[in-house]
Amino acid sequence: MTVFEYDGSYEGFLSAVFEAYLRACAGDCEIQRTGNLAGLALGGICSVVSDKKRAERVEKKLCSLSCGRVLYKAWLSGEENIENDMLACIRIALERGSAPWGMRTENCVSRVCGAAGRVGTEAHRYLQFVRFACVSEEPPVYAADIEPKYDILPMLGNHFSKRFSSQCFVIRDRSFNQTLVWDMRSWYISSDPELLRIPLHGDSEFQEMWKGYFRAVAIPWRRNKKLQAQFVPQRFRRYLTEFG
Amino acid sequence: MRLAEKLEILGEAARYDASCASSGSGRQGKRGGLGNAHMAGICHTWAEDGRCVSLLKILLSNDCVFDCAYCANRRTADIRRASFTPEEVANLTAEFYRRNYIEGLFLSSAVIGTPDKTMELMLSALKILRGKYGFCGYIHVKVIPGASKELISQVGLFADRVSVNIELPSEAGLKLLAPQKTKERIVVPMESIRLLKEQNGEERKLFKSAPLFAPAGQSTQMIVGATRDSDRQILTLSSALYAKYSMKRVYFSAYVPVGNHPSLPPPEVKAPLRREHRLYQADWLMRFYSFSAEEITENGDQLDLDLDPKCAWAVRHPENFPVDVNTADYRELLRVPGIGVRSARRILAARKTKKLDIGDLRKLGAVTKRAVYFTSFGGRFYGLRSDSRALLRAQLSDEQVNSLQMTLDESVPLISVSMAGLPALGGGIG
Repeated sequence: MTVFEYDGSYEGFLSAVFEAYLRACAGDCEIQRTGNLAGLALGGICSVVSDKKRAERVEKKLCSLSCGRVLYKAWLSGEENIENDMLACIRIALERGSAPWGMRTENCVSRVCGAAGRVGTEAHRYLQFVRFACVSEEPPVYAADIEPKYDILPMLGNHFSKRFSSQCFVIRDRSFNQTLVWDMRSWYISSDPELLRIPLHGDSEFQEMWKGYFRAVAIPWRRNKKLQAQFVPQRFRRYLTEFG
Repeated sequence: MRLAEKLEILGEAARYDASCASSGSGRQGKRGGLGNAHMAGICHTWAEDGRCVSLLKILLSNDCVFDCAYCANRRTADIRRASFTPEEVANLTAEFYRRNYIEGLFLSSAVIGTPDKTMELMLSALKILRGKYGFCGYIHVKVIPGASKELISQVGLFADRVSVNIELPSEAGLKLLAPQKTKERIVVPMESIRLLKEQNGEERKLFKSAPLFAPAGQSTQMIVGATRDSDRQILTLSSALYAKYSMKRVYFSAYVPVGNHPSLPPPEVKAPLRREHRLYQADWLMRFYSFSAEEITENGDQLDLDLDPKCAWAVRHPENFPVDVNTADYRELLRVPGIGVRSARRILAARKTKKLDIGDLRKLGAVTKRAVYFTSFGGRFYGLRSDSRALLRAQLSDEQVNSLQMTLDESVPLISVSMAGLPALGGGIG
């Protein structure tokens, strides 16, 4: 059995899928990130070089089968062996000529859908829980810190840039050490360590008002902290103004 | 008075409004403006009572000329009074929005002087927010009962959702507790909103550029437990409201003792949270599961507090079960406790490629611990072998009590379902 290694980028993964089909061994191979030692024992490792054109061809095919989005989300989960489940789903999709997501009783489909779902939930949580602080009024610049479980930063760009078109902002991902930057023209992800170092302070006027409001709206008769904890798990609270 | 202090008073005054939805509007942001709406809505945080905070829910003023007995802001209540200026409302909303604290504004108000004067002030806040701040986020506005149709039609052009609170489930209740409000004054604005929205729809068919009128429709709210109205009355009224005024939502708010009116429950009575929860479950069944109010309440005036209304219906109708997962149609699947809209759709998709069994049902996201009693798989049945309704009820309600413990206040006494108490419960339904 062949093991394809890729560089850890999505483009690399798609190139590996291309390579597997090129060699006609998609049914009997594994795909994994470089550095994963599990493959060593099996022998026959093949390093795949990221190739933009090949990746685009695979991506286009997957989108035509309406699988692109779910597969990308599942890949973002970074879960162990998810690449092989994804490859299995791609094989089913190509055989059927349509997305396999209805066949949730298949283990590979169930795992890929599950992973994509978890990533989607995490991304949605940050549409809710990103808290900006105003770091400069003129020009308006806002900054926020997050510490997500998965690499969901690319999934926030469109939402927040559409919403805050007239203010610059950065969202700093403390788990993956990268920063989403919106400069009022386009958004991009930067791994510049300088951006992560700038401290967040000031902006206490509205933060205090928000905290006061947050306390005032809770109905004391209905106090139910268990229910609150279901919706706002502890790990998010560190960065939430109202829990600070 | 400091702005922060006003915000606390008027936030606290608005907290009994149950509606917090920010869904149903796809308003797109403009370049250089602020914000856009998210079709499915976004909750931004959850307060200590476990209720979500999606919109900045405030009153413009809590200085009311009305004296409704159930209301915390009634004229004779001894509370701190405050009022925002329209500019303050707009500025607070924009600044909170910029920090991603909220999804938009929920603006209501006590009646200042006359209903029309109040509505005019609210309208000017909306104009500043949409105009000066270029705000394209979500706005929900309460219509003050008795406000003129012209004002309502203007407000609807700025807001995403408008609502009129029906307050109490019956006219008799209104007469008793809110003598200044009449059924007329509540129903007339609802009808205006429905009509205006319908006209707007026609206009927009002809001119794509016609301004939107309340794209997220209208909703309403009623207080549960302040009067003697039964669950059957409440649900029948809700279903009529959905049908007649194309309501998007009817909210229920468990009455919290705030006054000492002789016709109100005494202050030591606990808010009927469990009942409120059951009413919402019933409301969901009516909106998404094609249940009718009659079916849900066929067994009596009040809903069963131990069993959710869907389980209760299924236990009452053994003739419809078990449902064969591999052959049943969508409507039949939806009636099975433990199978929801999403899992029913997944079942339809999955059984095209495979004969399903109980293990598959779990993978498809159904709650098998409930569904197991009501489903079969090509003749195989894994549920109870006994015909005893009491036993079935016990299996279902035990779980219910456990899961309710998660969602309700610890201080609400839970009705314990012990095996010893069962025959009596079961006898009750037979």
